[in-house]
Amino acid sequence: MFSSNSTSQNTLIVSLKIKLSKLLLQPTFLIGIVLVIILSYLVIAPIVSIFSNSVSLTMMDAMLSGGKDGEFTYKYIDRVFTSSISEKIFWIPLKNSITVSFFATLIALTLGLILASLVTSTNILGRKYLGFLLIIPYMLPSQAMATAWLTMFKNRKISGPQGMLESFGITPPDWLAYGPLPISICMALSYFPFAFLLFSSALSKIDIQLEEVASTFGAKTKAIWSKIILPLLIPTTMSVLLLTVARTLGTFATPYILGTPAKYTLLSTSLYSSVRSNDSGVVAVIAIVLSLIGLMLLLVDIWVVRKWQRFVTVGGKGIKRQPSKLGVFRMPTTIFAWIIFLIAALGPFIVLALSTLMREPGNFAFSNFGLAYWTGVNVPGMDQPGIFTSPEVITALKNSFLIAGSAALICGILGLLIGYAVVRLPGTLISGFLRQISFLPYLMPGLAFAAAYLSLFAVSRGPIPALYGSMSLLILVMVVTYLPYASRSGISAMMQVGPEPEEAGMVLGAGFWRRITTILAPLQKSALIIAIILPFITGMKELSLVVMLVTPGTELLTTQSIRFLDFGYTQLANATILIIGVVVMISVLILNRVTKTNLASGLGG
Amino acid sequence: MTLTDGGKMTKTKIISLITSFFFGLTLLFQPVVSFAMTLDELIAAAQKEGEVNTYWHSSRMGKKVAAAFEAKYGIKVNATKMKDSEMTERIVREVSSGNVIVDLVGYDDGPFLDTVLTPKGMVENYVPPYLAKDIPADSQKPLIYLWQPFVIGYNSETYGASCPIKSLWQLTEKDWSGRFHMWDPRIASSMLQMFSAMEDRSDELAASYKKHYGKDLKVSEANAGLEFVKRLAQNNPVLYNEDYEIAVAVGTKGQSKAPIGIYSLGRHRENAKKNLALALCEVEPFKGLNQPTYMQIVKGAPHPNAARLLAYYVLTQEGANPWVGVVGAYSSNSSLGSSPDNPYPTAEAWKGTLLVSNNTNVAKRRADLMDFWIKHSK
Repeated sequence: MFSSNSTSQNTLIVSLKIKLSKLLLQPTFLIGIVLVIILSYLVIAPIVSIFSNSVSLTMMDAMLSGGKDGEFTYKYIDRVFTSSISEKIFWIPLKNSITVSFFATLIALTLGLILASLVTSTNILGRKYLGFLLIIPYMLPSQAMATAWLTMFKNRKISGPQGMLESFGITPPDWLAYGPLPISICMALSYFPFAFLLFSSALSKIDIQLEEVASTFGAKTKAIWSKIILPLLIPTTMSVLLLTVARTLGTFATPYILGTPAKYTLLSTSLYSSVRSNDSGVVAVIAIVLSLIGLMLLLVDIWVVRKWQRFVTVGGKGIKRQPSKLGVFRMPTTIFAWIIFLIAALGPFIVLALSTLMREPGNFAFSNFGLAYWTGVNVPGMDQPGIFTSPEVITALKNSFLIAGSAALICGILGLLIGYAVVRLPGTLISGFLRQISFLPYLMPGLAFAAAYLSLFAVSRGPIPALYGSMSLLILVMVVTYLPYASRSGISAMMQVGPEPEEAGMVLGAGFWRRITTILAPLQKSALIIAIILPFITGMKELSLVVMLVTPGTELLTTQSIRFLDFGYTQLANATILIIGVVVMISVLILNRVTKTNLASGLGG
Repeated sequence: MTLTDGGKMTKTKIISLITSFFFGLTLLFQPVVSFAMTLDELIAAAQKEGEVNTYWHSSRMGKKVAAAFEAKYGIKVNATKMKDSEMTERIVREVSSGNVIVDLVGYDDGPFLDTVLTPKGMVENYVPPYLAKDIPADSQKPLIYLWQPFVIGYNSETYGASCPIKSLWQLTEKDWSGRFHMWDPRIASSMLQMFSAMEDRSDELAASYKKHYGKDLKVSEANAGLEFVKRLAQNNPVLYNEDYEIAVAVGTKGQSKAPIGIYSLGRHRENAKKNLALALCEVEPFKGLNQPTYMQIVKGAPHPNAARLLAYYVLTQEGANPWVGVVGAYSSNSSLGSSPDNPYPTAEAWKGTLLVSNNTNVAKRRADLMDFWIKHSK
């Protein structure tokens, strides 16, 4: 460009002009660039800011201790890892997190494997329905299980209405009501459907010929399972293991509801306490630790998948395994599977619903039933309006729809745009960058990401105004967090559409927008709907991501239910959770209708 | 605007200089002018603003005052109940982002107010001139609008007419392990204010120990106050975000081993409505903490005049009634009465049995006290 030779400068200008006109004709490149800029800011900036927060003095501390706002300090790293309180705020929570994750994962994995084997490969009764019904716990917000547990088992240790068992005269001991045991069980029951789905799909992909060969050679069913099928499931098992651990580490609601009364702190609740007490340097450090654990787990997962890839045999051209006859075990296994469904899916619904209909827990007299908690103007004993008359709940309901809805819409469109740019610009730097960066948020637990957003958008930076306290912050953080799923599905959806239809359009003189609206959009209609409904469902039941970011006026249904719990209004919290459950169920049904398949398997978030 | 522009000053320049001088002068006197408004002028200015946003320590702002204020002045009050740590965070965030939402705060964290918010100019201290003569000087800077006793309470159905403990030190005994319910000090600064005040009055704590147990207290910490805090933390107290839950835990009827708790005395008003059996614990050496609540206008408030009017209103009998008309609070406006349900008619009548913290001491010690608490809690 700085060549003194004027001829070469001219050619350069001409070639630039040609490039520019190409750009205008084919804005893929432009879209790619714009996406790169937007995503760099939305994804990388929070990560940078959280790292810088962990080593710079906060404004609050600067004010109190007289230092300079933002000056370099080891104070927070020290506080988390080595100070006199490090044990309380980090090491014990870390130990507890590991314990709980271990047991929760173990239970979830076992349940998932057993149930998947039963449903896919045996003649258990009602297997057709179980395939869908066992996924229901996954659709409920994570606090549903925990509050249902609390409604059932709580004792006089903490205040609020009596637990159901207690009202029957049975006082559950503390270890059953609060702490590691209920947390592990509730997390396991919330997350086993995930294991169930992965194992089911792995089992149905195993080449049936392997089994046929074995049985031709006279191998018994038992031998086929222990020597062929289970070893082939090892990679899936590892994936389930790592992903479930990652998930349990990031879960906030369960330990908050069931751990707090017993002062059983996990990393997620310790992080939240630090947020509540304005200790933002410590928040940054713990968030980084959580992200690093997430990153580590993901790397191990990738490594395992690579290492085992050579053993994966995907063949089975649609030949379904003949369900093996269970004989005398048919009834016991059937009962087992249905009991799991009862406990994990139906149970919480019944407990939550009952608690909102009974004025006094445990009193089954007809007169004790009523709709006071739903439609009452002033609920007896609470000095609070019922759910449908409470302005707070109405606002939260509106906000939930508005925020999750807009986030889903943006996320779906952005996902397809990224897919478009990645697929249409193959081999370019932009394509690779977009692919990687849109996946980055996957590594950070919701709480850590929210902490980063909180610090990044609290004040105005350059052209971006301070978003704290506005709905746009909540929408933004949801969009970015759900982007990994949206962009993955966007990329795979775009892969399926070759460039030919568009090229044909171009030949016929159709401009870019015309091509998009008349060729691409109709082709991708159902992909778009899926890409919108899935984040919507996740957004409706989101808690850990938003619990630190909501402000009065931007409360969502999930955070409102936590507020109710804080005040001991258990019934109102339960009713709020039921509303979320119903909205999510309806969305899933719509999704199933649109796609005509069981899309519960796509519920990645 | 140089005066020596080529050594010559034109007429227009002089005029513009004088004008800008007077313009600056009016800017300078702007706040003074608004301070000197008559009440009617203030009402008119407030009504022009139409609404006012508050963060308040008590839900009664939203539940009671808002409706009465709107009915009287036609100004809408948006009230959010908030704990002080969250309020602090929000005030600082809003003021430093320039996106100020809140106008008036009812705020419990005096130490932070005195050492940070006021010196940094993040809040404006407004003492309604129409009432100033009735507010004691030591409650004016910064303005305290309400004194609320946070008391040790017990369940009178379980334990009858007298509290099961005589000395605070009994709360550190094994018998009361897991049976003392209190605010989480990480969230409610009142608890840190209480700990600091206990340090200030260590001698009384030590004396009470000797009186109750008949032997000297073995102090392994810097003072008897810290010793108490440590033993309390180690005795597994149950922590809450909201004192509503503490009151319910303590006062629910039908308990055989009801806990003891610390909560605002105002909860006693709910005994009848919520079928609770809360009673004041006559315990030595302190029956609780007298918590001042400050009222401040946030810097850059979008509705400053409505905020001033509301500040005035809650210091009048009508506006203060939701608090002072029932048990549990005393207005800083000495001309207002208090509810006959209070155990004592005025804050002074408690005769020092309520702890009052010193903001400077709390500010100095709070970080250490917080870590001390976290370190020793089980």
